[in-house]
Amino acid sequence: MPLLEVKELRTWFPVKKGLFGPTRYVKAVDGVSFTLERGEVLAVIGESGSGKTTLGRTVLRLIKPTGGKIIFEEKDITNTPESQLRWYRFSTAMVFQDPFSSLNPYHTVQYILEEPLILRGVPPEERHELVVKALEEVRLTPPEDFLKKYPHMLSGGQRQRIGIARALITRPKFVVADEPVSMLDVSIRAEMLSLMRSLQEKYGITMIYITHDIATAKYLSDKILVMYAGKMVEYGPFRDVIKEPLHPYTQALIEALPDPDPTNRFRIRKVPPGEPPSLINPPPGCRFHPRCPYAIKGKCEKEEPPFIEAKKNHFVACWLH
Amino acid sequence: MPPLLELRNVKMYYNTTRGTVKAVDGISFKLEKGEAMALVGESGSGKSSLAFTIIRLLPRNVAESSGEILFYDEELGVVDLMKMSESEIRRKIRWKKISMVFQASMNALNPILRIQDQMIEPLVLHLGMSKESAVKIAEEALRSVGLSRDVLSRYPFELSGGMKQRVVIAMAIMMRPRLVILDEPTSALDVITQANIMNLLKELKAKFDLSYILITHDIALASEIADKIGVMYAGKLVEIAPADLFFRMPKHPYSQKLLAAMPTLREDKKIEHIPGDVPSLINPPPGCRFHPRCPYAIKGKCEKEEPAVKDVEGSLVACWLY
Repeated sequence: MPLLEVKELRTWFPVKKGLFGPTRYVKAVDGVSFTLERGEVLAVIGESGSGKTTLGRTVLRLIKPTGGKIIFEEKDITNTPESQLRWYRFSTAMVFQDPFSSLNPYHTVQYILEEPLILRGVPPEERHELVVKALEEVRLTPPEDFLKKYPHMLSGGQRQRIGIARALITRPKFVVADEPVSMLDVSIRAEMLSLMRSLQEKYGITMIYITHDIATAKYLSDKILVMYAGKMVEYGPFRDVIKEPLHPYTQALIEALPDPDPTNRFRIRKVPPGEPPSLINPPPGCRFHPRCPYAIKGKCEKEEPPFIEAKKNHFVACWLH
Repeated sequence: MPPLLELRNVKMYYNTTRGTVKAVDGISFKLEKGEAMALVGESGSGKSSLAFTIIRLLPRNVAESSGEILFYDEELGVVDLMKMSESEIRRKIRWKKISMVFQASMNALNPILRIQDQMIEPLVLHLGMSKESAVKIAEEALRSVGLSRDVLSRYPFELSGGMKQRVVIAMAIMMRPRLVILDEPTSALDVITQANIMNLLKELKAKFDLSYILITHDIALASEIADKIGVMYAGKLVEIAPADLFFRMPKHPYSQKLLAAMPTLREDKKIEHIPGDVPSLINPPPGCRFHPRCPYAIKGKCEKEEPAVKDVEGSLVACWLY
């Protein structure tokens, strides 16, 4: 029985042109389905505007879905009112992208870490012990040096460690990490990811890792879901998808990513031109067709490709398969 | 023929209430015509400060700026940018010979001006060109970065991030400079857009025989364009090596650590991390500045004496191990 099941999830934001104008929708998430077993990590990959952040927030019920289903521990929480969601709030947590704006500048590290425990009614004696342990776990040692510090006294990497510690201090079952390393130097990204992986494994946390960078996802993920303009285009086990990407968009994402190699400078990367479309007025048919090098005329721009299981557990939405 | 650019013991310090920040502390290197060099290092290593020093845009609280920045050009001969006055730099060098794409500069486009007006402003106001010829130059520059001329009449909000970045690059190459300094030119862009911009930079380099100084913290990105890599640490260059040599055999322990910490997609390797933080530039450690984080530090040596730059099999390295 999976911990989390998401079926045909839709999050549309209404936009109105003028007072009496027709309501149109930004279809930020449009029909996304996946399942997560306990202790699994799913990487959600996409460019800005692909809907990956909206997906993460909707699954956490920070945004109300427009349609579809979210089932957590066999309970349907798609439309549960906020007043009955407290148990879900207590089993979930989020790590934010920007370590500079997601920590309250007026609070000390100690209070930042204590606050979620206070909300859960943990007695003061236990709280201090848990805070010290949490700091040790994210390798901010000795913890006493950090307790009384304010966020501005810490480096970007140290702040993000606090962000991780805060998310994990309540031992959540399910965590959404939204681009947790994209604001950090490349040299500390890898360490942060391996730290997250080890804590995730230690506590058996189920996780969604949202990123635009497949290279960092490699160090953390079991499964991968690729999004383009609100749609899921590919979904499967991480290794299989990276080894043999089926969707031309996934292929482009991988091709675009340089590994350190001095011969890179002699080659022009074969990446599609242009940028992702507007979500108000996405292209008809397959949303990637205007940029796709393999687009089939008379097909791709007319009909939306179905999501099919092309290989075992490896799904793709493309007319080529 | 002299190199296009040669820095000799360049320093740039600035004052803060907490003390003097030695952002650039004795940097020397050469850049040939048509060559691209990447300056890599972590945040706070002084790489952006070095770029601003070269193009002579100094902070108001500058405490010291010294050394020689020799620039060679057929028209001007060899000139020392350090000795030139601001008005001379503005008339003869900036944008015409050396231009810069600033970090996050695509977001610095004026939101209430059409692209045309922002592009031709320096040409009309500073160089006294007529509007028609300035527009022609702007059009030509846009074409070479792959944008159509109707971008001229648009406002920045009508353009995507990648298009804005192309406009900023067009502005940098508009006056046919010899050297373009690129400060994290793709840091706010998506991976595919980043690859498209890097493709563009490669094409422009070949087409106009440009030299680049690329500033980045991403070594993989540096390998996309650099013929030569310079590694900066705490205001110093610790290694300068040809790209082919650097990626195969980094010499300085810090370079080795940087490469080992790099997440890679295709290659399977165990990720290492560099313990500790980049030191403060106000009070850098004595001796070799990397010694507190270096696994090979030699006791009684590295923390006392500063290593000199040595030529080790074609790489210039400042380390006591060699």
